[in-house]
Amino acid sequence: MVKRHRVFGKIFEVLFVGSTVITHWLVFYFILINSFKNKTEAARLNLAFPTEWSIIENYTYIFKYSSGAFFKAFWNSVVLTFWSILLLVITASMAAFIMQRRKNRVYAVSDKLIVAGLIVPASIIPTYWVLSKLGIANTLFGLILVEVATLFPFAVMMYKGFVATIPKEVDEAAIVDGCGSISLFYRIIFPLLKPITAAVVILRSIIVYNDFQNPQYYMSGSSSQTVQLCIYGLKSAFDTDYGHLFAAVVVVSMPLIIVYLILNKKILEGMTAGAVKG
Amino acid sequence: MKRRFIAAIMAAVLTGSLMACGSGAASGKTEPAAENAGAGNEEESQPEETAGEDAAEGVTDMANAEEAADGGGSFEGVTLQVAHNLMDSNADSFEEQFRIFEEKTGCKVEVERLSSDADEMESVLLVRAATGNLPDIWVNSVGAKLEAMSPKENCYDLSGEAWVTERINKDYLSIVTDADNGMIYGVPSMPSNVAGVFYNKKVYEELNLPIPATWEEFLENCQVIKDTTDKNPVMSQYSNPSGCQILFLSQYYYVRDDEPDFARKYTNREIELHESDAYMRGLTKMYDIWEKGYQNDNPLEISWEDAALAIAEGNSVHIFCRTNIMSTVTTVAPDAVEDIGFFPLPDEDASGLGVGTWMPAAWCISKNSANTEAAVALLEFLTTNEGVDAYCAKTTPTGAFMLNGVELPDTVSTAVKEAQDWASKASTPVMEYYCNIKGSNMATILSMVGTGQYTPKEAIAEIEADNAIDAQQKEIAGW
Amino acid sequence: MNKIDKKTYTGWLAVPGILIYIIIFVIPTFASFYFSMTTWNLKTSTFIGLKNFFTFFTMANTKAALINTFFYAGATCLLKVVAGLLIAQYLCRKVKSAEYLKIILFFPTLLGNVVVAIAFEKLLASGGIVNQAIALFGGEPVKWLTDSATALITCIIIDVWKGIGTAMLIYVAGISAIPSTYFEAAAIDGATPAKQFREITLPLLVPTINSVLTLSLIGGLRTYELVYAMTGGGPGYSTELLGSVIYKLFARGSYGLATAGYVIMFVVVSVIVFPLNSFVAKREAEL
Repeated sequence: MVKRHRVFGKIFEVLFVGSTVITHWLVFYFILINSFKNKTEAARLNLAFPTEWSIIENYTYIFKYSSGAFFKAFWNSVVLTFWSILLLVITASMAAFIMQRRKNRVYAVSDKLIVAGLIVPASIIPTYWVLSKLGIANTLFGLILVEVATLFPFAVMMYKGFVATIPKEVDEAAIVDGCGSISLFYRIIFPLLKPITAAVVILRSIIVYNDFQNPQYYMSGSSSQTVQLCIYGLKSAFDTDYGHLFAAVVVVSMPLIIVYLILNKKILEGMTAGAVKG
Repeated sequence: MKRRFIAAIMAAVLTGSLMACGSGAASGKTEPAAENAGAGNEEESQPEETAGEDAAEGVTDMANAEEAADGGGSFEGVTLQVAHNLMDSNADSFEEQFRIFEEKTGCKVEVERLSSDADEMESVLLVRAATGNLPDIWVNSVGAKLEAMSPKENCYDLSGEAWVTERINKDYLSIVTDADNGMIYGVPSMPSNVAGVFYNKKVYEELNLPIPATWEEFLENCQVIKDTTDKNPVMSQYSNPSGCQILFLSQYYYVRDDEPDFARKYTNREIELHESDAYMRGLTKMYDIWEKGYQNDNPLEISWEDAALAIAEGNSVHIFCRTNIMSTVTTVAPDAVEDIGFFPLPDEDASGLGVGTWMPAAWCISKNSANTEAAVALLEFLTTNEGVDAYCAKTTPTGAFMLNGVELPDTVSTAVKEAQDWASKASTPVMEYYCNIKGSNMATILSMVGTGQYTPKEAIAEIEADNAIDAQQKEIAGW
Repeated sequence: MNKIDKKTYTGWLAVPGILIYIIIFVIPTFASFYFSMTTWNLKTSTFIGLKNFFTFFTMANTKAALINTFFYAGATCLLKVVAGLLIAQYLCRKVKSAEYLKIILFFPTLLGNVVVAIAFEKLLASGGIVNQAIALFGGEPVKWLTDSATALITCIIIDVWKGIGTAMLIYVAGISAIPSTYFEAAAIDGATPAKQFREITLPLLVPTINSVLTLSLIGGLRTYELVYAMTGGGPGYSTELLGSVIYKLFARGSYGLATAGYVIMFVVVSVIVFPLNSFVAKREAEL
């Protein structure tokens, strides 16, 4: 009886793993193989091997494209992701710490606003209007602030949950040892938040790097373009070269894939840490 | 080890982005310096100018000479921001033109890519204009879409430049000129497009079909193809907004033939769309093709590439399209380019045939640009024969350049030549150039007509309602 | 105590984040209530009262968009909540390939919306690989994305394909946070895995289920990028979502009307999610 159960379990596992070949590997293979084809063959969009490999042609085209616009967009995306996440981690962890520790009406209101921000969508056109009033519309800096603001509520909630698990005695001991409030946070509290910081960094990086809507609305044009926009640009109405398109798709997806393959254990750890409290 | 690696990456990102900030500030500062350099290098730039003159010919000589006299020869250290939304070969052509301009003047041209979706690009430009973020030079649709940009406030006036009136085709000039004050806002960026029916000549020969002069005859031809072969009479491409609209919009030739003042009257709400039979025929034609089963069964997913290939191979016989389909044919089936012919969208009257045209989008200069002098010089260069040659070095043009004295090269396909003949005989730019009222669902509604979900009657009611919303949002008087 | 608190937990630490949040998120949100009642070209706005809201509801695609949005959000949310949980539960048992499956199922999350849209649009084309396979077994080709009967469902499946990794990971994290002693004790008592799941995992996982539910519901109500990139809202209005209606209005320059559409989305999301959230939270407290 037990044995048969186990056999069924094995069969199910084999089927499950096997089905990912179709549901996942096939998709990846399809993207990859078509990035190796020349224009005419790629236009047929099938799974066949190319008769004429144009790997080098396609991939160098991507980087030469419009005097390095793609490369520049790539760089913009990296800069955008880096600064957004850095700013997010600093501001959200500080705010969460204070908001968790202090209870008065101001913080209660802020708390409500932030919970609401988790739920309601961001208003796009008025945001652009505010950015232009501040003179930072169409700048990378403006976009970084938008990313921080939209991700802020979620990050604060994650941090708050974790800060709650740090006993207040820790703060008091540090104060007794002569820590000021800022050094208390940076020397004692922030290092304790490491698991949740890891989770925020990894999960939010994926969102910022893959963000399409915000860059599209708040910035346009290659001097400040991100890679996601660049791909969308390549998907044009006329004359699309799918070989180039899929090569771009592969290049754009690579950074996150590499980071993920290196850090996938850490991601789960971070998530577990985050899940300890909601 | 890993930590050191991450530290290295972080350092790189940090320094890199700081450098980016630094260079941004630097380029802002170069403007006055650039002007000085421009004045100082005036004499040095002369040889380059003459070199340019050698390559150019005729009218351009005068223009160049004048420009040199103005003292705007060299723009060492100036960086021009140019934004456009063109792709592939067109973009390559622009690149080539900018490269030569950079070589000639020392000016640096920085290209920004805007969205390839025309509506999207338009909205981006509107937003940037409203918030003072336009690039030095950008590409803008002309006619009503240029008016929507409030060009008087946003575009640099080119009417003071002698070369503009000399080089640019009169018809085109009339579209980019402000009727109120004579200001000129732009120069053509690329060849124009002519819309009509592209068909496979081999199939026509095989079946011995006559070129249809009326819609009836066209449908008869389709019936013959349907009955005697397994080919698709019509290839419909409704998977993107432009594909849905071409047949319908190019019908405007006949609308205007009926009522020359249609666009103005509609804008002022003096007539309704459904009152024009010619306008309604644009919808019934789309509906006919669906109803009679003449089109492919996957119009919503087929791409331009597939469509072009099907026509080139003869699996489908007709397609309603613009001449730029020929550059797609050139890439997907280079050997079949000469198998394709052109005739105008047929209507009721066999003797009144004509075509709808799409004017080339215009290069415009921002009024707030700090580098108008260099920008004007670039625009002038683009209209010279040398500029046109640079364009043609990368793309075979699929329409007229709208520049005086510029002939299409011999390499263009027969279909393009035929279309061009019609354009010079009987044509009108489509309604969008005269009327900026267009609801956000136009393309969707048309695709629903073309796939039988709406009858023309249902569709026109919805188009009118949809347009009314747009007109109200634009605060057009009378709506 | 309060005084010490004030000194120890100086409000200045919270200022930068909250300031950015208020300027870039809160102020525009409030501004949108005003601009939704205007015709607006970003420079000047004319107050027209509630007219935009009436206009928005008379638009031909609004009704379809609202129904589609509810269906889309409900279906993606349900699939992610249920299927995510079942997969996570399966992976948390001693399965040899668990690591592999976690990695591969999370993988699509790393891909951008445009990337996924491009790939599936081509895979599911009428002459695409999926239909080639169907033809091989003698079936009729299916117009996955271009038939109004199937398009929305196809989009939902692709959305779940892309998003289930996140739901799964949150669940896996939640399940692994349950002390293993609970299961051991239950096993000694002779509880079957099914019973363990019902009586230990499920009750302890309620907060996790709540967050997956809320997150995917909010996501489903707001999203449109993936669908828009694949179908553009078509065929007809069959995959039109609230987000894509707003986007199309923006693209035509009707900023006032688009903002009214945003306010409607704001209300829709709030009316559904806030009560749901407090309801679940109450249930949670009862448990």
